[in-house]
Amino acid sequence: MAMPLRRLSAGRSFPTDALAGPLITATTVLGLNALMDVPFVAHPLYLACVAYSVFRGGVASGLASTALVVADSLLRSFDVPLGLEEPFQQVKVVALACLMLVLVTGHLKRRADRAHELSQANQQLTGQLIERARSEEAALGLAMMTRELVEPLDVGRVHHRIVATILDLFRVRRATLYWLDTAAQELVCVAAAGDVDGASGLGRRVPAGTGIVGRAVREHRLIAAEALREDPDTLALPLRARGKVLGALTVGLAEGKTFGETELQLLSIFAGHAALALENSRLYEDLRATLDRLSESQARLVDDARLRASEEVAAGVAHHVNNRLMIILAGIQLLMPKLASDVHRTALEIVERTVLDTARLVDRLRQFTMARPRGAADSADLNLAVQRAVELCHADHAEAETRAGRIEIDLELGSVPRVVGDEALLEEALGHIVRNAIEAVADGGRITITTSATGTSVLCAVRDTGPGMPDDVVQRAAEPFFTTKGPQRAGLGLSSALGIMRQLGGQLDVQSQRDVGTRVTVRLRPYVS
Amino acid sequence: MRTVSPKRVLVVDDEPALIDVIVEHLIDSPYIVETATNGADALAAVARDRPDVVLLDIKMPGLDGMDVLKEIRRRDPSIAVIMVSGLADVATTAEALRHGAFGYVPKPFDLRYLKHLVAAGIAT
Repeated sequence: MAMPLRRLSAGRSFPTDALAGPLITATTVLGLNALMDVPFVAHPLYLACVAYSVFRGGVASGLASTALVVADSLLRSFDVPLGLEEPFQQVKVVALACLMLVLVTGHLKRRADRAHELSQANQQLTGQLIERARSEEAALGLAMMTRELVEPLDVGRVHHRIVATILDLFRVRRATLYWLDTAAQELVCVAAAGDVDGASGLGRRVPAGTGIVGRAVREHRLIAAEALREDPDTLALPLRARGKVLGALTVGLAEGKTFGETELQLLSIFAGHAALALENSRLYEDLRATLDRLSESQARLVDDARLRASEEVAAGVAHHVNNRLMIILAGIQLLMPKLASDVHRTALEIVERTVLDTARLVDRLRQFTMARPRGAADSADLNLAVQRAVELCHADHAEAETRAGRIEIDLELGSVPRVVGDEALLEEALGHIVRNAIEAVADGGRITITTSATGTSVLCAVRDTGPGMPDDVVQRAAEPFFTTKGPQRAGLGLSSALGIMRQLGGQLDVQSQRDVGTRVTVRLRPYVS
Repeated sequence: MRTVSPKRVLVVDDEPALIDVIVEHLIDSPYIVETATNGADALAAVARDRPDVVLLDIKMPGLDGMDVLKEIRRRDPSIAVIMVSGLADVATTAEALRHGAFGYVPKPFDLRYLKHLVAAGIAT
């Protein structure tokens, strides 16, 4: 902007500056001739006029002044009459006065013009400087905010940062961010900052294409709401990344404030960056979800492989151990009738019982490791299975009550559909869980068994009022051979139940609280014929 | 006067010690007891002796018990085959019964029960 100013000043100075020196020289010559007749005194003044002419108007101007002085000197040398005598004397004085007036007025006018030009240029420069400073500040802010925008990858944080940045950077009253739900063709308000009222609250849904925000998305451009009846001081602009509209931003301006060209440009640039940051965070979230799913399925595969390996090992162990137990048992049963002494018979009976216990233990271990789903085509009556499981535990219940106080078992059986699974297996699993609960309330207490149904599952919860378990014990409760009940327990009850649940495609969950009790919940699939 | 030929029982198991105790247990019974330690020998014994009851282990190297059961049933459905296994589970039991097994006994079993089952098998 400084260039036009220089051109302007050079164009006007040329005739004035070139003529100023010779005019002053002429005035001096005339003045000296009119007022005094002393050419020697005049010489330094002539020199000064020539010097001024050169300084003011350049060499040509200096030469013109020199010519005037030389002409004057020549005329004086040859004593040419310059009309110093009357009646011309009066005319010359008037002419001299007018000439001097012209010179002085011209000079003053010139100074005034120059001052005006300078003042205008100054104003222009100041405006430019202010505008540049503002742009630089905004651009710097934008750059910093852009960097901050792309840093977080959490979608919620990106939403929040976008609206907070607009509020900060553009000093507006309100900023709201909408996400385009392409399936529902609706814009959903996901973040708002500033003067937020109920209408622009989170979760608000606007059908795409309606309202200022809907129009911004439909028309892919910035919409100012001045022409619309709603929100008079609002701007809306679409958020686009990679050619796709992701959502929209609305900005509520402070009262009486308008956005200039630069601010609108900056807002558009910001919207572009915001859209990219949003797209990135969404992509990151998708990637993370995919990775989680992959990790989960990989873990399941590893788990399956581990279970199958354990199943094979357990099957091999069961086969060989049972074969040997069979030999021992057969030997015992051959010997038994031949023993005369009761003491020997009792000893042999203990060995026989131990053999049978060992066989059961091997069977439970095998049960836990069975990975293949079984009984998937069968259906079972869960309430009936609960009742039978309680009957199965009758002996344990009676035995525990003789040792401790009364143990109440309450059945709160809801109306539930049939479940997927083999009835005998289900009874066995529930039997393990109920037996566990009886052992937990060995000093007397209450066991409550409830059945209920949700939309996708059928539940059975066995709750006891026992002492509960610390977290580390809960974590390991269903591990095979893990027990806190001393060496007489194998620690295979819950693990067998878990194994059976796995075979039935169900789940088993253990929750416990110290001094309150434990709840074991089995979740089964409803049977669809 | 018609003579009644003694009933024959074939015991098949890859564990010789187990065969010994079963044979020992059946020694007082009025049966002729034959033995085999693998599937091929078992089928040869069936062809040769035509037993009335076969006690058949399921898990054996080579031809396993389930294949031997199918072959015996194909050759002579009147032979009662009692399956014996150290791997007791519902699916295997169901499969054995579906292929025509007379009974299924998980190891370790009570020999007195086995004796009853053999008697029942002979009576059919």
